[in-house]
Amino acid sequence: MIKAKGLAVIIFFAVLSHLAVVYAFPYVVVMSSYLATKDEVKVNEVYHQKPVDASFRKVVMPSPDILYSACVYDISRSDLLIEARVPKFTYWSASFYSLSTDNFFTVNDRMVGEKVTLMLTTNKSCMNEKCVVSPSERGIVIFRIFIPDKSLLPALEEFQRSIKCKEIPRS
Amino acid sequence: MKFWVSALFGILIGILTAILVINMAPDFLWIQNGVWKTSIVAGSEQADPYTRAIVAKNYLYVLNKSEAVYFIATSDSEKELDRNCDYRIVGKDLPARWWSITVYGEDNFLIDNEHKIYSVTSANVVKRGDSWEIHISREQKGENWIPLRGEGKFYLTLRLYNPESIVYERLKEIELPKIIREGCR
Repeated sequence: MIKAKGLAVIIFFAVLSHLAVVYAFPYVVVMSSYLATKDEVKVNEVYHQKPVDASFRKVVMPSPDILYSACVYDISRSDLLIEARVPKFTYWSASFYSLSTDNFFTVNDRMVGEKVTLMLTTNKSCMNEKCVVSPSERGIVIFRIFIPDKSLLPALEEFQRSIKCKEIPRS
Repeated sequence: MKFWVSALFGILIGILTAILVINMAPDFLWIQNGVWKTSIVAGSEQADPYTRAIVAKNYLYVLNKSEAVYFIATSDSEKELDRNCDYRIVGKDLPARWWSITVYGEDNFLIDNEHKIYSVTSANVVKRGDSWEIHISREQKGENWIPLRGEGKFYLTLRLYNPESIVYERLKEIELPKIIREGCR
């Protein structure tokens, strides 16, 4: 009887801790990566990455054919205005990830004109077509520009530099 | 006292099994197409907690399926991919706006080489008609070469950006590049 009770306690805590680790793991990884890059990557500001090579160690499985920019966001106190010029001769996208690493929204060059303006918010009742509603207060927006040819890098970097992330006080 | 010993033992088992599952990335979470595997829910809001954890460890910030499909190959038809071997990847035009094949080390980062060549893409691949060959080896072998350096295993990631609908409809059957081992040292 005591053995059965002991076994039940082991199973209960094993299942509980197993699920807790699996659920918490993405949050731990994301928060660790934020902490590891906090000196370079400021919250609610855009960060431009040069084309990656083997020395790049910030995020796993980087693509050497993509020009990356990112905005780590915290919209607990303000919304985030995102603006960019979009190249029409190569792939461009802005992908929004919640704190749980879910890619909850993506827009690419085929969906927008030569300029894009978006408002990232947690306000679910935002009806403006520019609004992107984040399921979490913290997360990251990753911008990708495909490099079809290295000779196009200067032109692509101009598009990269046009990406802006700016805090907007809530009205 | 016995209760807390049992509880502690249970917690330890739970943590260890969770770490084991996240590290092993069991096959049932993947869709297999020959030697290539993919997950259609990776990166999406539909992802289950296990997929989310595995993605966070190995493939953080992947795009969801509407934007890109990622196929991973860790072996040829017989053995795990090894940096001491030479490989030929044989393929045709792929049903996507653009694609790339990239070589990664076991640490999930690019393998350092003096040429700074880590991938071949649909934009720079040299083709013969609609087909192409990519060489992954220590010594340069013709066009479309990705250098291998160091020791240990490696894996390939095939990215299909803005894939055509056939990719989603026939994920297990669409023709993907073949990985041919040509010899080992």
